[in-house]
Amino acid sequence: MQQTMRSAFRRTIRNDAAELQTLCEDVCTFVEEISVPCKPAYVVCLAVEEMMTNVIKYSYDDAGVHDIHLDITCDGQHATIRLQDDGHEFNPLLAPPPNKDLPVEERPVGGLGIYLVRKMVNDDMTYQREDGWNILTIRIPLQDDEEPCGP
Amino acid sequence: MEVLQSTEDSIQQIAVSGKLDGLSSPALEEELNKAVAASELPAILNFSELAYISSAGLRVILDYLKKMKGAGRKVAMVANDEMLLYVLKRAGFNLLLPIVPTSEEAKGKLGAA
Repeated sequence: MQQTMRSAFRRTIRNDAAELQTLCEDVCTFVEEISVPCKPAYVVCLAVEEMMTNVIKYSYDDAGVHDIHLDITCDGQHATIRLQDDGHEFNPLLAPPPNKDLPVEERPVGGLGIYLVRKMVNDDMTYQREDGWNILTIRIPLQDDEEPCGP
Repeated sequence: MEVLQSTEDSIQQIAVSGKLDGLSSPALEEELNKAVAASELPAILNFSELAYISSAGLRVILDYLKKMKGAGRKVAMVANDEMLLYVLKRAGFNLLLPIVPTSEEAKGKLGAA
């Protein structure tokens, strides 16, 4: 019988930049420990940092404390990231891409994070709005012919 | 994240290693602001030891490039990690400055080889 290794990472943080940084470190340690290959490991770390930074910076219409839930499961084929926040409705799949044709002095300094993550996962992302929650699911393939990242 | 600065062959060399994320990017911004103020020379941004960059880091680099352009100074970048190059290209940085695999080629791009 074929053994499938499943690993999971689950954490709830508040909408606080310092908590997010600790979380990002822990996510990167998690993917290293379960020997995710170098490229998908980068994508998992980037997706968590970019999407959660975006939630913390732009999602809330009040100054209150909010919970953000993160769930990562790896089944050998894919890493699936599930993010849940109770900010205002925002579908990152509808965000406009940055204009890369502008000269350096006219480039806006925002909007890149979501675009990068979408490109890196080939838009393998689903968005739902349920009972006041934004639920974003991102799927990252884990090719098994690659070497895990060295220390 | 670590930043090493030196001047070599009339080029300001800035080598950034480690991870350039939301946590470390403000420290790089401070270092780059100092580097812009400290010299009139063309510059090489060396990312050959950089393992990770997120949009927070890209924003700091973009801001630096704007300042350097404003000061009339040329910048070239050294990068060779596959993921790093992918991110830089996706963000369109290859349209903003030369990105090459070695310091020697970067010097060439600055007309100082």
